Amino acid sequence: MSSSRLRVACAASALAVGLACGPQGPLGILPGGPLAGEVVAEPVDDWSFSDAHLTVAIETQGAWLDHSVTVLCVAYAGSLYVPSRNPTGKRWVRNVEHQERVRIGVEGRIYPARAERVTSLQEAEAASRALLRKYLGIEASEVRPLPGAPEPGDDRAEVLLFRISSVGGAS
Amino acid sequence: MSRWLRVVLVLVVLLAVVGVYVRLFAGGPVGFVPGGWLRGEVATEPVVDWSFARDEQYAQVESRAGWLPYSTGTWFMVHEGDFYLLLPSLFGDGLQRRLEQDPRVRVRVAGKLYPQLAVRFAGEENLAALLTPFLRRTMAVEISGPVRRVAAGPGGAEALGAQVWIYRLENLQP
Repeated sequence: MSSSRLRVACAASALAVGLACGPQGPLGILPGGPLAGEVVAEPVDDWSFSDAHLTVAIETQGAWLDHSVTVLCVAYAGSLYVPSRNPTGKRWVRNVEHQERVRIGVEGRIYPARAERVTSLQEAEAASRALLRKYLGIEASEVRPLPGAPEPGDDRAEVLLFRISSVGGAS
Repeated sequence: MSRWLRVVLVLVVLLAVVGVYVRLFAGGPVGFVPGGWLRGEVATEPVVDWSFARDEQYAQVESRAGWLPYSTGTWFMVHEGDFYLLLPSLFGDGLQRRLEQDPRVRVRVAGKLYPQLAVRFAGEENLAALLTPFLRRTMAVEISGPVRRVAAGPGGAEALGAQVWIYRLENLQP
């Protein structure tokens, strides 16, 4: 590798590491490190305030580094739901599967929470209905979430849904 | 000037250069960066059945509204042989605003360009059948029964003004 290419590669690596470990949250589609902001000590009983935002940040705990990304979200019946489309290989999902403690960033405020995978079809149906309403502005009388990975040849997405429960600043 | 400020300035300039390059020379959008003129072979025959497009995940649409052509990747669906562009407001209204100004577009599917007219589909009839293939592909859900678009008013979706604009493509007369 020529020295100029090596320099470019080093700069790009440094930038990537800086973004991944830096003391800031995600920037749009770029992942970040630990979230920065005021930590909310009181547990949240009703996440509906988050519906005023298109996205929130989620910080997860990796083996070595905290990792944060921007995610879609919807509030339903007081809880917050975060979907992950085609989750295979996504670092934040892998982290959550190992360590359920997360922090949610909404407008510079940080909410310590727990992320649990939704396995109940009824709950997934209600959250999917709310997601359709929030992001597409449509209301369907019957909504059926398709659980699990698609069969080979099926072009449908795989979606995992996580329920976020606030634990307050004690986390 | 502090080192960090210089780094930020360099990044901003780099992003601007990438944006200008993609818009003028890339022959279409690159990732999430909108492009300009779409490059490709232009189809000469009108399309009667768009079923061949089903294998594609996204379509690229070029609008000539405004003083520079604008192209972007969009979701779409094929229903009963017709081609529908799906533009969720979640991704901004860049293309939608242009379609309202000038409905003439060129759509690139599998490398080929199709001159078309984008006609706004505002109905609610058959919306479930129309949207289900798209929702399966993007959200892993199926919907059925009556579907309605949420009216404006206070509340979550309405507060965000979330909606999905749908346009049906019609062959552009030469």
